[in-house]
Amino acid sequence: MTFEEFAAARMPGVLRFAAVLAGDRATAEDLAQEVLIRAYSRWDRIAGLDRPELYVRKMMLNEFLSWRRRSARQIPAGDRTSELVSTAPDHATEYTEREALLGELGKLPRQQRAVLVLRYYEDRCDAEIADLLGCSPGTVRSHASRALAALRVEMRVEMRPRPRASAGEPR
Amino acid sequence: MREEENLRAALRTLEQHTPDPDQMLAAIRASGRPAPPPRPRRRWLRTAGTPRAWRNGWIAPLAAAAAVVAVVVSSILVAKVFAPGRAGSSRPHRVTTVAPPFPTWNGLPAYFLVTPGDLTMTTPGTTQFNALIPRSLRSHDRVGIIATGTGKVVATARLPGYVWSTAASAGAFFAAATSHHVTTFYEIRLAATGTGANVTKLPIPPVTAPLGNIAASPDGSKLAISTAVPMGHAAYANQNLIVAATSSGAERRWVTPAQDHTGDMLNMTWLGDGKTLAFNWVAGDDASPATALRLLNTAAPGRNLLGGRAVLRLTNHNSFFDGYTISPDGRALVGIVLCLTGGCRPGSPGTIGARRLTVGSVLEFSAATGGAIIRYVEPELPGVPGRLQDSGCFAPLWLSNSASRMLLLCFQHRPSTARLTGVIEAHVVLLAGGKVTQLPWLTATVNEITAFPGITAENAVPAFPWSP
Repeated sequence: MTFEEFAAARMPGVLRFAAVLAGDRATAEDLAQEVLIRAYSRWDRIAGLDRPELYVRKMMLNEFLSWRRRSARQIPAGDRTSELVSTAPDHATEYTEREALLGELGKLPRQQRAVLVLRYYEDRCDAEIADLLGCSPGTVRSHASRALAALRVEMRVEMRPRPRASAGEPR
Repeated sequence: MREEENLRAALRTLEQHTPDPDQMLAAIRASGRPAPPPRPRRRWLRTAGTPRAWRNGWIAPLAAAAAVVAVVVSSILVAKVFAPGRAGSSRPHRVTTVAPPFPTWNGLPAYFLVTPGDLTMTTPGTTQFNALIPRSLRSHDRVGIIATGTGKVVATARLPGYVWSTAASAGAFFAAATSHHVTTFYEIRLAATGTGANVTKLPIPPVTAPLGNIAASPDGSKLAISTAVPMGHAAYANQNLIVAATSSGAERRWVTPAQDHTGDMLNMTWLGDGKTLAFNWVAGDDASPATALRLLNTAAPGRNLLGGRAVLRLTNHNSFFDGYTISPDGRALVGIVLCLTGGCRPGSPGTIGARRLTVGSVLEFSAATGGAIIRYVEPELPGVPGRLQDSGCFAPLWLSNSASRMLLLCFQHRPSTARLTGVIEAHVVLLAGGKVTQLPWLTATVNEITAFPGITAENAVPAFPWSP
């Protein structure tokens, strides 16, 4: 598979992954550009792998987790709600709730956020996530549990009081 | 469950931030990277594209300040431990004496040089996946001289630039450091006391062209420098070779004979006579002379880089290997099998010359006969517990004169289990006489660019020996 073929067939999916991981377009562009330029320069090796797309996703994940240089001034994606609210101002509670959820998602530590993205967006099992992140499945479950707990707590405090959902551990 | 559904829905809404694929593709192409045909990479082509965020006004000063703090702190810390050599004044000096040869340790060179590598070592013998993230360009690099027998750093030297390439003669090390697109050359000698380094800026005229590799003649009197003339976004370039005297800086140059003779010049190694340079020529296109191990007599007249002899044709093998290391006698190339007919996953089966082998096997090619010798088959590597599944080795860090002994940097991927965290373990092994000996004390030090006397270990670059 040449890079051009990869770009035609897989690039949109990889870019969507970057967007969900990063949470905003500017960071997603930086993340994707950084990784894809590197992948492009090493394509002769990556192309020989069984699943180049998965490898590129892993590179993206590594890059996202190691990206510290701009984190100090990074604005969590969910804090920038004005743009979205202005384009759809009259959505009901569900919409507002989702915005708040995104806001809290942007405040999570990167590792926890990555776990949620891989689990709930990519629908990967804990073993796969562990392999991708280079940690144990137990650590994955721990990250997921803490992240979900943080989201629940924040949502309860900031949104509206509602009965606690089942307290069972996430899968 | 409702929370999870909400989360899924919320994450899906983030897809609206997906970058435009066409714009992204344009940015990648505009990065100056070459089109990537299935060929070996060049270090000079890895220059990182400037991330978009670095154009924001406030990020660069912050990053610069952080870098200064990091450099100062690391310098203080290192200075407390070692007696580092310094690049000295900006004025070059003549190297008037030949450094006495390094001693040996169990048949291996007693010392080697390392540069800061990509590998993120957490504990000795292990490394993380982000080993693949390349280091960024630095304004200064610190290189270290390592004792082979102990793995300890016996000296460090700070060089004013990003160290692109290193080399070693029988008794000294050499480094090419680039700063502001100008590459200067340094000799690094181990002090007579055995600790500390003496660094000399060589009188070789600075090079402004993209640098390929450097290789030091056995006595250290000459430095071969390959440079390239990029041709737009083409993957390959015209190649220039400079051979410079380390004592005077006097130069002689060779060029590829025709404009369309593009290619790549890898794995330069001087032969023992101090006159003949062996290198792996990789043809850039059909008009170029074929990919081959070539020998160039630098004492003979002429300026044609390809005027020497092609002693081993590598056509049909090139795409299957992860680079080569040339034995100092120029008679053998040793490489690692990267892909076979059975696929590219480590352990995938295939045949070469009717011999069954797997991806990850070490092959030696004889320049005399063109035949291949299987030096070892990857899953059978003894001395390393467990199969090297999803693992692999890089082209040898060091070869003895006739390639009968070799030092390999291998990786073993241990997937995560319910109780253990997945890691990639590094193993440095010595292969000699069919036996494999581990040198575990070297696993924490051997990394990206390692210069062993006699070898320009250009191939010891983290590749992709494992599959995700």
